[in-house]
Amino acid sequence: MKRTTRRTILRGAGTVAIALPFLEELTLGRAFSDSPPPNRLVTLFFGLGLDPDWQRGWDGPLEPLRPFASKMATFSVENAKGAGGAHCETSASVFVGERPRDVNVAGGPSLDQHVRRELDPAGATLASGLWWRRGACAAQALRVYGPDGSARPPIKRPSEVFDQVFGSAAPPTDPTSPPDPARDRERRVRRSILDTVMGQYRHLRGDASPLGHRSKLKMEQHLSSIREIETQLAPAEAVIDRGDGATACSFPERPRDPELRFGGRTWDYDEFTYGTGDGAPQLRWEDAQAVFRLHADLWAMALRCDLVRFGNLMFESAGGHMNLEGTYSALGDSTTFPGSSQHDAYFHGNDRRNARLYQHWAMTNLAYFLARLDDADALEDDGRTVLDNTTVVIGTEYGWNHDHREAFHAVVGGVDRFRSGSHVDLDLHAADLYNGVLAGYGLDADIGRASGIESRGDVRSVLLR
Amino acid sequence: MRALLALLLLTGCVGRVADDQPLRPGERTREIEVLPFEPVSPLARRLTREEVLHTLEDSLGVTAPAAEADAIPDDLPVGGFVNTGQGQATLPDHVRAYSRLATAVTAEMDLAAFVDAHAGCRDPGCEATFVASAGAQLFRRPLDAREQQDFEALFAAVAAEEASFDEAAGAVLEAMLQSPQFLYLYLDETAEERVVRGHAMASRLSYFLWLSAPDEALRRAAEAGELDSAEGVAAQAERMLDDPRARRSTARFIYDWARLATLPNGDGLKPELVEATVAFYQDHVWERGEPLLSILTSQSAALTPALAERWHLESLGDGVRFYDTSELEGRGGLLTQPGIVAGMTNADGGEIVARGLFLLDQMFCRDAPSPPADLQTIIDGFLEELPEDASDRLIAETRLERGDCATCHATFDPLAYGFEQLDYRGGFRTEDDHGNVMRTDGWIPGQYTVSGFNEPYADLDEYTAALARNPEVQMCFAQRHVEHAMGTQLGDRQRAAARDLAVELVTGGGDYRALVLAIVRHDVFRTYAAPEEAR
Repeated sequence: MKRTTRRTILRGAGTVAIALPFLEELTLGRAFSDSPPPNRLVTLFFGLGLDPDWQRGWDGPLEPLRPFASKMATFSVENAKGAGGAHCETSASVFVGERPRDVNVAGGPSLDQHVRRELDPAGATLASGLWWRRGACAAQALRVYGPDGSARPPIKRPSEVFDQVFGSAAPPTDPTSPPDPARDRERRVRRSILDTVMGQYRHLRGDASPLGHRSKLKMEQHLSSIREIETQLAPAEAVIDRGDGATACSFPERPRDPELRFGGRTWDYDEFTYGTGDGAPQLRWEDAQAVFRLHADLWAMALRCDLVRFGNLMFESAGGHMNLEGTYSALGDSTTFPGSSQHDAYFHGNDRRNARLYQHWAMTNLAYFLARLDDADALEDDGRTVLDNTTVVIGTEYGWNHDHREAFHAVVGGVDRFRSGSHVDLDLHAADLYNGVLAGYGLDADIGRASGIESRGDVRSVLLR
Repeated sequence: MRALLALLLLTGCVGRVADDQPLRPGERTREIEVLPFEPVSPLARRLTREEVLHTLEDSLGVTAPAAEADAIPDDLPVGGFVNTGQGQATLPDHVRAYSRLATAVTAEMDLAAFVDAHAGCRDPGCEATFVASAGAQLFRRPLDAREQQDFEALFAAVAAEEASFDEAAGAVLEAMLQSPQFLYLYLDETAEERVVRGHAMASRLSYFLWLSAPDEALRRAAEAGELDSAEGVAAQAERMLDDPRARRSTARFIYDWARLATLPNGDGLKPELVEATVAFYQDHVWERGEPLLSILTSQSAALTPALAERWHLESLGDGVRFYDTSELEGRGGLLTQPGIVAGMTNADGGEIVARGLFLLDQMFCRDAPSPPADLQTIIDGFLEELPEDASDRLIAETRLERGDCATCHATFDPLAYGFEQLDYRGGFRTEDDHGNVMRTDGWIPGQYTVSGFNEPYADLDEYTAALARNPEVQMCFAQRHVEHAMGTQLGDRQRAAARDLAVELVTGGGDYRALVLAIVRHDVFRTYAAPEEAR
C-alpha cells in the first residue's frame, strides 16, 4: 500500500503559472501537511427513485453498495414538494429540505452549501454529472443551491469539469529559471485591480452598505465566487503532483468527451430535449455509463487534491431523460432497456422487474464513485481514505412511481462524524435527516421550519457518533 | 387589511368585456381578491449576459469578442425571465468570464480616444477627472467620494509601475467593468423615502427598454431632476420607444415568455421556430401598432418555408414571411405560432398537461397544484381501462371523470384542448398516430371566468377571443410585462398594479406603447418597499 501525504507532495511541487491573468497572483498559503482533513460534503443524486421494497437490504438493487455498508447509514424519507408537475415538484427540495420558492429557486441552501457557508466560505464547489436538459423545469438538474436558494447549474461535459477544476493551472515553472521583471510587474498590476474590485464588493456587503440583507447576500456570493477561485488555485500550487511519481493527487489528462452516437445521429450534450420518450436522447447504457464514470474519476481526483470540497455529482437528473439501449444483466436476471424510455416503460408502466435492474445499474455507478473515494492506495495524511474523511449524502426524488414519500437516502463516509447502520425508516421528513447531517458538523440547523414542515423525529441518536 | 375588489369593477372599466359577454339573469359574478398595493421589496440584480454586451456596445462602442462573450454563463430564467433578480446566482464561472471580458474589451477599444474623451489631458491631476468621468458613465451615476478615492488609488498604484497614463487608465477601466456598480443594478435600500428617481430611474428605464445603460440624454434628464416625476419619466420613455434599441426589450420578452431558449433542436428547426416567433411579436408590436391583446386573435402567422410546410401551406418565399390565416382552420395568432406551441409542450406529463400548465402560468399567472403522492397508482388505475389507441383527449376526459384527478386537472387541462391540432414540433394535424380525430372544442374553467361558470369554446378562434377579453388574462399579460420591465417577480401585494395596467391595456389604446407608458408612470415602477430582513 502506498501512502503519500500532502507533505510529500508539497516538497515535490514547484511554483505554478496560472493561466487566468486576473487571478494569477493569488495564493492563500494554507498549511496542508499538519492540518486535519477539511470539512467536505458531497451530495450524490440519482433520478427517478428506488422502490421502497428494495431499500431495506443488500440483495436487490442496493447490492453494488454492499461493500460500503460498514460506512453507510440508509434512510427512507419524505421529500418536500413544491409547485410544478411530476419530477419538478421535488427537484429543488432534495438535499435542501425546504419547499422550493419557485420552479428554479430553492427554499434555502443545499446541504453542501450550508456547511460551506458556516464552516468554509471559500471552499470550492463542483456540480456536474450525467443528465439531460429539459425546458420548463431546469431544477430537475439543479442540486446545488446557495444561501438565497439560487442555483449552481451542473456541468455536463467531463472536459469542462476538467477545465473548471484543473484547467486553470499550467505546468510548473522551473524554480531555477531567471526572474522575469515584466511578468512580476504585470502580476502586481493584476493584484491591484483585483484588490480594488474586491474592495467594492466588500463595501456593498459591509456595515456601510446601502443594501439590505438579501442584496448583501448577492454581493457576498460574488465575493465568495472570487474567493472560491483563489482557493481552487492555491492548493494547485501546493499539492499537485504532475507525473513525477504515483501520488494520491495526480494531475489528470484533459478527458475527451465520449461521442454519444446512436440510431444514426450524434447526441449533443447541450441539446434540450422534450423529456422522456420521443425526443429524448437514445444512448447505449455503456456509453452513458462511460460519461458518468469520467465525471466520477474527475471528482475523486478533485477531492484528493483538495481542489473541491462541496457540491453534487449527478447520475441522471430528476425524471430521467435518456432512452437507454442495450441488454443489462444483474441479480440473476437481465433486461433489454426499451430504447424508448425506461421512465415511461418501467415507472409509468409499473414494471418492477425491469425497474429493479435499471436501479441496480444506477447503484453500480454510485458504487463506482464511492470506490474511487475509498481507494486504499490513496490515503490522506491521517491514514484514512478520502471517503472516510468526506461525507457523501446519497438522495433521490421519489420512492416508487412518483411518490415523494419513502425516497431513498444514505449517509456514506464521514466516519468520524456518522455511524453506519441498517435501514432507518422512521417516517422522517428529509429535513429531519438533513438537520441530523448538519449536526454532524456541529451545526444547529432548523431545516424545514421556513416551509412549515413539522419535524417527525430527531435522527441524531442513530446517525451521529 | 384585505380589500376585495369586484371583478365587475374591472370589467366595468374595460367596457367591451361586459358588452360582448353580458351576464345572463341569475348568473353569479366572481370576485378577484386584490390586496392593497404595496411596492416591491428591493433586490440587487446582476446584469444579464445580453445586458452586459449591449452596455459595452452602447457605452464604450466595443463589441465583445465572441469567445469572451460566450464565456459568460447562461442566465437561468426565474419566473420565466432571465433578468429576474430572485434566485440569480453568481458563480466562479461568472467571475472568470467578467475578468476575461474586461481584459479583452480594454484591449479591443481605442483607449487613447477613451482617455481623451474622459480626461482631456494626461498631466498630473488629470486622473481624477478621468476616474470621475469614466466612472459616471460606467456606473451610470456620479461616483461618491469613497469610490473616487479607490479608483484614483488604483490609478496611482499602476502608474507607480512606470505605466503610462493610458495604461493606468486601462487598469481603472478593467476594474470598473468588474465592479458591482457596473455589473449590478441596485437601489439605496436604506433611504427613508423609497422613490426611484434620478440616475437610479435612468438605469431602471434604460435596462427595461434598451437592455442597456442610459444614454447621454437620459443622464442629463436625471441630473436635471426630470426623472423625479411620473410625467418626466414617461416623456423619456416616449423618446426611448422611438429608438431602435427598444426592439431589444420586446424581442427578449417574447423569447423568455415563450421559453424559446429551451426548445430542442433535434430536427434542426429550432433557429427557425425562434426567429419566426420573435418576428411575429415584433411585427405586431412595432409595425402594426395594434392593441397588444389582439395579438391573441390576430389572423396572421410568421413562418419560414419549413414551418409553412408543416402547416401544409405553400411557401411565400425565403426567410420569415407573414401569412394571412383568416381562411385557415385552427391557426393564427400568437398562441398558435409553431415556436409557442413547441415551447408550451416542452414539459412533463403529455401534451395536454404540459400545455395546460403553461397556459395556466403564462395566461392566468396561477400556480399549478402539486400532484398527489400516489399519482402513479391513480394513473395506473385508469390507464388499464383505456384502449391502447386512446387519444390524449380521451385520456384527459377520463381523468376529469375521476374525482381524485379532476380536482387538479380540471383547473388546467381544458385550457389545452383547443390546441390539439397543433403538434409539439410546430406542425398542423387533423388526426393523431392512431387515427383519432383531433378536436378543437373545450372550455375556460369557471374559476377564471367573469361569470364563474365554465366558458365553452368550439374552436381556437372562439377560444383566443375569449382569452383576449378575459380580465384575468389581461391582468396576467400586464403582470408579465411588469415583471420583465423591472427584473423582479410580483407578489400578491402587487396584483393591484397588474389590475391597473390591465385597465390601461384595454381602455388606454392598448398597444405596447400605451402599456409601457402606463407601467413607467405607475408606483410599482417608481417606488419600492423596505428591504426584506433575514429569515
